[in-house]
Amino acid sequence: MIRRNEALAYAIAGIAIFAFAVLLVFALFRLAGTEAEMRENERDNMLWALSQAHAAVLLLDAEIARQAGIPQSMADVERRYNVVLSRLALLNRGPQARYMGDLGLSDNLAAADRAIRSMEDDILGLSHGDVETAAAVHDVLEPLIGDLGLAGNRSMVRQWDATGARLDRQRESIVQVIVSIVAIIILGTVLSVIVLRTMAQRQRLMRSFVREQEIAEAYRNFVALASHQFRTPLAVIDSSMQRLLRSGRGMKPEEIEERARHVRGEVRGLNELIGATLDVVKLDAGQVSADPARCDIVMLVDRVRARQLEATPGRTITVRLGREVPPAIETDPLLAEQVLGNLVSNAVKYSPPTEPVFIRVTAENRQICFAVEDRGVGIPQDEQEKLFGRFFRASTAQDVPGTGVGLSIASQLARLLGGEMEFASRAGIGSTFTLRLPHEWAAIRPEQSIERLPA
Amino acid sequence: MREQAPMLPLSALAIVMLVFLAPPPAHAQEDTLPAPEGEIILTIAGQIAQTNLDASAVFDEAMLANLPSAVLETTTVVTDGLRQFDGFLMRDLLTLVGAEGETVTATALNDYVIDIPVEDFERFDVLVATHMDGQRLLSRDMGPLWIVYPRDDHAELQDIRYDYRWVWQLVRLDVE
Repeated sequence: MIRRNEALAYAIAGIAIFAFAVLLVFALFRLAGTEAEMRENERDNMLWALSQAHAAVLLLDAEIARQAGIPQSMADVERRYNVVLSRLALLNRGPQARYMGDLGLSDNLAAADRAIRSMEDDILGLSHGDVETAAAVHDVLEPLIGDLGLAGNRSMVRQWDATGARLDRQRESIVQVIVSIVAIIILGTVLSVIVLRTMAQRQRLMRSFVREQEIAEAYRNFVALASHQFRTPLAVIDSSMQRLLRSGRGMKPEEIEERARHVRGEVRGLNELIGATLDVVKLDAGQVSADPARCDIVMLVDRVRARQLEATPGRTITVRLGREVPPAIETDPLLAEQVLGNLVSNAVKYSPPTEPVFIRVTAENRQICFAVEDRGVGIPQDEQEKLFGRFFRASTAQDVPGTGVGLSIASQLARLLGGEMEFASRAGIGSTFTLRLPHEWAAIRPEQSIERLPA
Repeated sequence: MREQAPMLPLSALAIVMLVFLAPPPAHAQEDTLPAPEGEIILTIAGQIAQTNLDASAVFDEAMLANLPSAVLETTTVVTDGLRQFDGFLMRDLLTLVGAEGETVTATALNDYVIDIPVEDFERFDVLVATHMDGQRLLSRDMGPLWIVYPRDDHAELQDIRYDYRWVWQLVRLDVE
């Protein structure tokens, strides 16, 4: 299913990219076409050339008529004559000649040019009062005047038609380009969204992959650690039993008692290890739930202390109870004892046998704080943030047996009880772990009950 | 670098020499224009320093022929194909008459009047053509003089806003 979705996404992205390119090329093509068309001047000067020729012939006609009536210098007639010839030469040449051909006037213009040139001597030699010659010249010029007027007319219609058509084409091109651009914007947005989503998805996959790797690594470490932790007491028990068998009846009762106590200690350690491992499984499965009851604080602390002293009889554990501490709180006494027991056992484990361990109980902000202080190895600064993580063991704790689940379980249980765990530690100086528990059970919100495996 | 003695660059030296060797500018000449002997072809009036007839400078064929000749090959919008034009540069003509102004108003035989910025003649080698393809331009065609722009050499000149400055049958210039 995922594979099909992915193929579909690739297909959509591919089509979008292709459409994007096609639209861009199309818009570019239309724009280039419009630009080229705008650069073309359409020979706009044709109408102007025609009107100039028209005026020149009219002016010559008028000048000749005046010359016939009023005596004056011939220079003006000659100038007008030259201008007329110049205009006709212009119209009978190059692009103008082709345009006149399109208008169907080439032959008429050529004939008029010939006719006017054939009368050159008459025109330039026109004398005052020579009305007949003037009339003859007029007869030649008149149809030319008519033709040029007509040509101007047709030219205007042609040009306006052409301009209208060109504007239509350009408008159409511009609309197409606008539509293309809108489509390009939409496609661009779609592509961007696809790319961003793919990136986000990859990021998510990457993160969960890294997390899975971390978890797998942690479990591997745990298995190695646990097997080591299980094997060591088993080896000790085994060697004690071998010794007992070998010595037979020769062993003194005190030595047998000593060995049995030793074996029992190891068995208890194993039991605790199994208990902790089971706790992890239970916590992960959400099978642990708190059962609130009245919990006497002095009794709780004494029980924890007594149990620890039973396991390590030579150690000093000092309890200091603040005067403000109430006699009892409402919590799950068994879970609270387990958390506190873990903290005290850690304090003992990670400090030299000659150093005392302190349990200080105080009350502040409707919370009871159980601070367990040791003068032990401490936790290096750069490892502190991983401290409550599952299977974490500090570099300073390498020589001490342990699985790295104790604190993790303790902090989870503390949250289950609506409290929290805090600590302050300096490598080589010691650590203080503080369990804060609420006075009353009612303060606990249900969602704080249990969490799955922490990320 | 600091211990090196400063040296005059060769190019600067060349410029200095050129300045000393170059002929004095035309407007520094005190010679007034000679009087025309033949038919007057071109009249220049307005803000000019050199005159030979009333307040204007007039030219016959021989006087125009004395100007430094120039050749220009270009297409035009009113003819087909490449044409060769002979004549002189408008710039040289204006220098000769000591023209001081921003605009030249060109007038043609048929009373066509167009204002041309003097800047055009500074930026481009604008020709006043007397010949096209070796033939003298005649008054009954595009003559006697035709203002021709180097259209093919500059893309910006291929524009209708320059096309109308190509005055043919040119007979008069007024400098303002």
